[in-house]
Amino acid sequence: MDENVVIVGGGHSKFGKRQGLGIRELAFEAVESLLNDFKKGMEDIEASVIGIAGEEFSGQGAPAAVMQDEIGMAGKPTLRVESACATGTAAIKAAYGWIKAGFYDTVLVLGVEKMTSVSSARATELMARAGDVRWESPYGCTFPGYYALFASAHMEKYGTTKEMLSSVGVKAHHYGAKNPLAHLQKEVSLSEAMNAVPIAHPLNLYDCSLISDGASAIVLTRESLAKEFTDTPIKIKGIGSGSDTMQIAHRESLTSLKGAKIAAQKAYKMAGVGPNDIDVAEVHDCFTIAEIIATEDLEFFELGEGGPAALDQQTYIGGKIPVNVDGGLKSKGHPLGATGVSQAYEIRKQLLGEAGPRQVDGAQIGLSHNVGQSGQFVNVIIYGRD
Amino acid sequence: MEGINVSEQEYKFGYVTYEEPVPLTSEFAKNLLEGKVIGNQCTKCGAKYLPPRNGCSKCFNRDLVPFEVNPEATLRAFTVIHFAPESFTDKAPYIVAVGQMENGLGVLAHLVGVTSMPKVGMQMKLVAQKLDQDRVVYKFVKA
Ligand SMILES: CC(C)(COP(=O)(O)OP(=O)(O)OC[C@H]1O[C@@H](n2cnc3c(N)ncnc32)[C@H](O)[C@@H]1OP(=O)(O)O)[C@@H](O)C(=O)NCCC(=O)NCCS
Ligand SMILES: [Zn+2]
Repeated sequence: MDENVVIVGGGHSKFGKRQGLGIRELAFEAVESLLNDFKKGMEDIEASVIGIAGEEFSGQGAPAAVMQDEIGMAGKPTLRVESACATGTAAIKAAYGWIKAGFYDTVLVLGVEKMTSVSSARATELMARAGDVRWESPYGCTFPGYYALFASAHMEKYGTTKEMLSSVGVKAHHYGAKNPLAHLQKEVSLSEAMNAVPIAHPLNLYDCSLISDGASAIVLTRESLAKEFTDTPIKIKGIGSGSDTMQIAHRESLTSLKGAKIAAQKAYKMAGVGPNDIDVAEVHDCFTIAEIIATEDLEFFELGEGGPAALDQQTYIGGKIPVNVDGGLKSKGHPLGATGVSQAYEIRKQLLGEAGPRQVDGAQIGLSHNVGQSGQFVNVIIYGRD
Repeated sequence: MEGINVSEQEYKFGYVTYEEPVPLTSEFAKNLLEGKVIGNQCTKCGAKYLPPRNGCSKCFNRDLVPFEVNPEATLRAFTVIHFAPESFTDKAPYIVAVGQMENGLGVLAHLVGVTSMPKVGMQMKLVAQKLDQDRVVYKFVKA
């Protein structure tokens, strides 16, 4: 299949602490929202790829099947994809591959997670088990902890400050407050952000993404069929992926994610664009330091310049490169399996000019960067109007 | 096997055990109790592993020989965990550190016995501690 693969629809549940809703209701809500601005119906979707990171949060084993049924697709092929927090983009890549291989023309990608049914301490434990359970998890390093390790090394090497970290959280909440789908829609001041309760030093509450419930969905098809679905398809121009050592202690660098650099290079090359061509980016800001490192790994800024650039508001709309202007994982929320799909949903909205008060004027090319665990999975996707 | 005085006891490594214990970790923990940090090395390509592996991930040779690792380490990165996983709630706050050791080796462990905020680059030493009858951890202390 030589044609481009394009996005012809997008749906998104409200992210948040969605009491009373299980994974099937969340999945339903995202697909229902997708159908609201979709010229065709579910009967025109041939298969689905469903991304969900954990089953212990929701209690449902082999969770794709129950969602496939709830969204009326029982009988059609489905597949569950898991790559920790990079699950959503891995699902997009799998669907892209199915279409390219010629298996199906039109595929639904659904990302879902239900996390708030367990306590935060339990959720922290479940996520920490994505670290090496033989050699590292037995020391109680949490996910905020792994990124705090990166932060300490980044601060030492480049002079990155706590204020720079906090400024990333302030921006996230600034835009999240304008996003009706976001989990925590409130502004936060720099001093509030800097003085919040410590979680994993030097990271505090306002450096951490939220534990959220939510779902997001997109539909992919081949370019020649796009017009049947929408007048404004969004092209997937490039996808790159990378990984890194399982143990943090084995990393060559603790100030950069090798897998992200590899993924970015591949995606830029495939799309035939460079960092300066990107008009709007969604990066994996599971922690504030992660956004700073991401903007360096993606080459928006030189190594070590991500922190000063954040403080200088270069990642706001009107700055050098608007980043996470939907609130990011920090304020929009981070239902693990939904996140990568939600990023694609947001970039599509931006490229369609439908992002409302958060619109980046005239955005033509967008990028999403989605990281699983502490860099063991990374996908970078580049999208374009044409 | 002859010659090795193995008490039949199985040792567990770390504060918590999440997976079924394997002989490799039991042996590693037993060595730790004797004050030795034992990694292993591939007899074919020379790759060195700490913690030890079951086979060489570079050339798939199964024949690895043990070697003793110098316990001196330099602090590469650290964090103070305040919000802990469920199984560690009563231990918080605690310091998790990544130490750089000889030959590019390194491990993640708690850093104990420091009275002020640690400094990246500080010198440390990896030591063993027996937690109870069959459980051993390693931790960094200030050198
Ligand atoms: C930081 C963290 C431990 C806080 O959890 P918690 O202390 O149990 O928080 P609670 O759920 O009890 O919420 C307490 C308050 O803080 C708010 N809150 C919770 N997490 C927050 C966050 N990350 N940022 C800002 N506010 C947050 C809640 O909205 C709530 O506010 P309210 O009292 O006004 O209603 C949790 O958000 C967390 O673990 N985040 C990281 C998630 C993660 O690691 N994801 C994987 C990334 S790879
Ligand atoms: Zn070898």
